[in-house]
This record gives sequence, C-alpha cells and structure tokens, in this order.
Amino acid sequence: MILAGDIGGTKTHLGIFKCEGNQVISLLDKKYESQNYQSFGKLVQTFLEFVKQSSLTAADKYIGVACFGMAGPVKTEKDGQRSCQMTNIPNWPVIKETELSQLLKVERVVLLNDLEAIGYGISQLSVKDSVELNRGIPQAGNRAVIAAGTGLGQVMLYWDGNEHHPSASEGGHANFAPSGDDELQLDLLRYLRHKYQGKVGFERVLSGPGLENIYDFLRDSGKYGKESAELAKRLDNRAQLISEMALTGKNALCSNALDVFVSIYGATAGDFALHSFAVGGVYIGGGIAPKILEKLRDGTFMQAFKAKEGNSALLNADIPVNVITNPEVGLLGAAWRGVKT
Amino acid sequence: MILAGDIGAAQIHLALFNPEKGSDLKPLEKRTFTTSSKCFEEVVDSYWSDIQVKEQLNGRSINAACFGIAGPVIGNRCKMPHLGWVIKVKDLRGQLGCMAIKLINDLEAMAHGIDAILDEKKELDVLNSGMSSEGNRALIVTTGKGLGEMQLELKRDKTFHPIPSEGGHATATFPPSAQDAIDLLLYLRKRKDFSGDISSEQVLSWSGLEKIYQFVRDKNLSEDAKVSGEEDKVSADVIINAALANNDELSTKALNLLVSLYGAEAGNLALRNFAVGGVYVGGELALQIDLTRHKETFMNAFKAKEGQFAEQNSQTPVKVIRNPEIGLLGAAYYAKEYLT
Repeated sequence: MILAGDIGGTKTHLGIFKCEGNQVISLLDKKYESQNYQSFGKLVQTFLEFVKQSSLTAADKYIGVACFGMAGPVKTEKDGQRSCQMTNIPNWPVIKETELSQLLKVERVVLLNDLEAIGYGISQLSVKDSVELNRGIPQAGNRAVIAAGTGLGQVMLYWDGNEHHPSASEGGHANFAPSGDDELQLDLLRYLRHKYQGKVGFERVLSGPGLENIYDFLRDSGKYGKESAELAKRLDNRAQLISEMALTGKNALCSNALDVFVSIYGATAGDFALHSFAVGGVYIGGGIAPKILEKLRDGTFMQAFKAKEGNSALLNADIPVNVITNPEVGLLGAAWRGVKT
Repeated sequence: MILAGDIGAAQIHLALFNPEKGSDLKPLEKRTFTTSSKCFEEVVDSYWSDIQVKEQLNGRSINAACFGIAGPVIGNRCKMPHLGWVIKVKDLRGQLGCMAIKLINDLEAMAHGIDAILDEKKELDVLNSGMSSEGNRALIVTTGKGLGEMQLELKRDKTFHPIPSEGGHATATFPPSAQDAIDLLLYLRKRKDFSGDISSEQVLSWSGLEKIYQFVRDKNLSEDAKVSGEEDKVSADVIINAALANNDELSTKALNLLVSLYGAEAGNLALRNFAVGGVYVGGELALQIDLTRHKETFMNAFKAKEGQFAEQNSQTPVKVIRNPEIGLLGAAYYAKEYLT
C-alpha cells in the first residue's frame, strides 16, 4: 500500500491508498492541524498509530512506499536525497527522505513540492472533480497548472509522447506583466513598485494577499468605489471578505478588485499556457478558484486568457481550461507518484 | 546521407551531412535561401536541382531528414507564424523519396546542437559562471526576427529532452531597473493595430529594437511631433551598427534598453522553468550585438527579482551560443541519432 500526504502550513491530510489500473483508491484518511505537532515525523507517527488501530486488514496496513507533497521548497542534495523546510512552519526541523524512511520504517520515501503533487494528481481526476472554463480542442501535449492561494504556484507537465512529467516552476516570482488595453494595471505596477522597492513578482497580485494589494490600490486611487465599513475594520483575512462582498454585489470597490484579479489571473494563465505550450490543457488549482467559480465563468478570465497577439490568440482559444474543484488533488497526486516509484 | 535544414523566418539553410563515427558533423553543400518563395517545397526543389548537390549525392539516396522550423510543430506539421507556410512531413516524403523525416522546432534543433557540441569553450561565451549546479533543467532563449524560448529537461544520459514553448508570444514583462519600461509599454500600446497584449517578441526582436529606437527618439520631442510610424523608422542594422560604433546616443540608449529587457525576460524564464542547470542565449540578434559586450546590463536585469530569487538567479550559469550553425548541426544530429 501507499502512504500519501498533502502537507500544508495549516492542515495536513494523510491517507492509505491502493492502486487499481491507473487509478489510486483511498482506504483510510485523516486530517491534522500541522502546527499542533513538533515535527513532521511525529505527525506521521500519530497517523500510523491510527492506521494500526483501524479495521484495515494486515495486508492493507503494510506500507511499501510513502510520498508527501510539501508546502515548501524541496531541494535535491548532492547524494540525490531530497529535503524540505516547510515555508510556514519554521519550528519543524528540515524533513529528509532518508531520515523519514528510518523513522517510519518505510523502505522508500519521496518528497514532492505541493504543486508537483497537484501535477501528478491531474491524471487521477474524474469529470466531477473539475469545472470547465473553456472546452477547446484537447490534444496530446504539455499541460500546465496555475494555482493562486496563499501564494502563486505554477507547474508544467511536459508530455514525452507517452506520459506527463510534472516539473516545478518559480514563475510566480517572475516580473509581473501588466496586461489589458487600459492603463489600470500599469498604475497598479507603479503602486506596487513603490510598496515593494521596485521588485514586483506575479505573486504580489495573484494570491490572497495579491487580491488585497489590488483592492488597496483601487481604494487609494479613489476612482473605483468606497470602502465598506466592514472591510475598513477588518485586519486579517481581508481577501476572503473582499471576494465574498464582490460575489454578492454588495460593494463596488470589492467587485472591481475581483474583476481586476480575475483578468490578471486569465492573462497570466494564458501566458503560462504559451510558455508551456500547453495544448494538452490548463488547470486552475489553488484555494481561491473554487470560491470564485461564478466570477471565473463570467467571461473575464477567458477573454484575458485569449488576448494574445496573432496566432497565439487562436492557439489559446483551442486550449481546454478547467478549474480543479477537488481539494484532494494534491493527496491523490502524491499517492499516484508513490505508485510510480 | 542526411539532409538537414534550419528554417527561420528570415533565412533558410539546407545542407547534406555524411556522418562518420567519432568526428564532428560537417555540413556539405550548405545553401542559404531567402524566404521569398511561395512555399517550403519550392525551396527544397531549388536545392535539389543544384548541380553540386547532385554531384555530392552521386546517386545516393537520403536516409533521413530533419528540419528545425521557427514555429510550433504539432505532430507532423508546422504552420510558420511569420510566413504562413504550412510544412507537412507527408508532402516532403514524396519530394525527398525518404520515409524518415522529422520536423522539430528550431530551438529544439539548437538544443540538439548543444548536445552535439564537443568543445564547449570554442562554441560558448560565459556571461555568468554561476554555480555548476546539479539542476536537471536548462533553457534556450534566442532573438532575431522573433523571440524563441525552449525548456530543456536533462535526461539520465546527460542529453537534453527539449520541451517546446510559445513563450515569446506571452505578455511582455519589464525589469524593475528600467524606469523607461512602463513608458515604453504605453508607447507600444498606442501604436499597436491588434486587440491582444503586447508580447515579449514585439519588444525583443529586430522590429522591436526599431520601435524602441523610435520610443527613445520621440520621448524628447514635443507632443505634436510624435508621429512615428513605419514610414520614419530606422532599420535595426543601422541602430546596432551606430550603437556598436558608439557614435549615436539614441542608438546606444535603444540598444541598452533592449539588452536590459532581454536580461529581464531570460531571468523570468529561468525562474519559470526552474532552469538552475543553465540558460543558453542565442540567435542572430544576440550574435550581431555581441552580448558579451553588454554583460553587465544583461545580468543586472537577469538578477533583479524579488527576495531569494535574486540570489537563485545569480547562481544560474548563463552562456551565449557563438556558433550560428548550431540549429543546422542540431537538426543533422537529430537525424543521425534518432532517425537512422
């Protein structure tokens, strides 16, 4: 069996999987609060104890391989072993494949970046796990995943003629490219250059905090509506409130902010599609997309996705675009990567 | 015999190769054609009817042919965006009397050309030595008539698996260091005659340089005099020559801005492709301006990224491909390695 995990800064989801054909099937799973544990090793041991006490058969309890998608940079050491320091849990010691293998008594342990795990998870999705933004014309070829959440993750899945290989990207930190025909995004860039001493990556606009940046810019410019009293006194998790108020149409400023956000999301996804030559499809992952589905489907996203010069507009119009709505895609991907070890 | 081709938007090179074990690939009867023909078949016809080509072949047939094309190759066909030509393997088979024919992207051909290089020092100039990392990914970025980008996945046998990209047509990005860049984007938007976003290629190419020059020139003019259009443009060659001879301030400024935009784009790609294994810069424009002379401007923009990513990019090796035949050699190498 395979032990798989989706390891986030706040929540960790662990599960035991078996494989039938090309699909992984969950036998048992459980969610944990990551920060409640002193180390990742302790957390996994807790789950393994839970598995031991469960009603699974002895055969199902035997774990041959473990694979984890980590919310943090996964580095390859000189000896080929991979290690990870979790981005938002600084008190966890560095996690290493070999050490985990010894601690958990599992022969093979694989650490993946969480976006890579989502990349592997694409092949495990069924029709009900995604919502279509553009039908396009599906072709065998590269795919791309772009995921705005706490940060902006991107992963490209290159097609070798037989299968897709997810490959990590730091594209979220490339220079933000203002798009659209008016000067709004240029002014946004100027505003953020001032805030961030000149260097503005895509993540500064395409993420939860990014939506807040867009909102602040529109508010400060004074041309796009008034701040609601509720938002004025809100100090944390403003992005959540901005998108809620935008979707219910309660506040024009919030609606405008979400509109700019979705337009940038579409343009950036379209650019990443060109960069990755993703004729095999673009997938929108991350925590934000399922919450703003309605807005993603109103045409703003796809219009920006296709607004490229010459043939590229036609190329992008043919690319299938889907929003991943199954929050377990990363866990499924980690399990599938485990199968392939 | 192998027939190889490098089919660019401005020029086409065709050559025969007679591969021998243990020695460098050498082009035989290399011919260069302009792109004024109606279609690619016409170019192949004129190569085929060349007396010396016939003598070189001496009755022997072609075992394999590979063509690197400036355009997206999907399956066995490619539509070239700049020329509108559609090249199909099916049509070429009849014409060449050979079944083993492969179309690859021109940058993919360059990637195979890098694989074919035996002596790195002779063929590559170093812009940034970086850390020779164990990274399993590299990339190529070229500029000339268009902007070409390709990601390279390093395989176990240390050769590259090229992954095609159309990233040159993605929205143009600008380095934080160039204060002029936002004004340049505004200027280009005012002049554009299509509905999409300004792409990187529209800035990073010969025609891009011509527009950058007009931007730099017009900036100093009064509102009324700003009527730059196609009719008062200065050709890229003239701008480059003046800048390299250091006798025209506007040309120098324009070229510096182009180099800094080029560095920023290459740096963005390095992050996007996680290309810690190295960035290879090539193409006719890069050769023409001798990028090694602009090392500092290029690398400053390459490294100007947020937070830890400035450090990551400063550790990425950056090299300029000096051999203008690298794409042709790569196509021949592909035919030799994978088609025969």
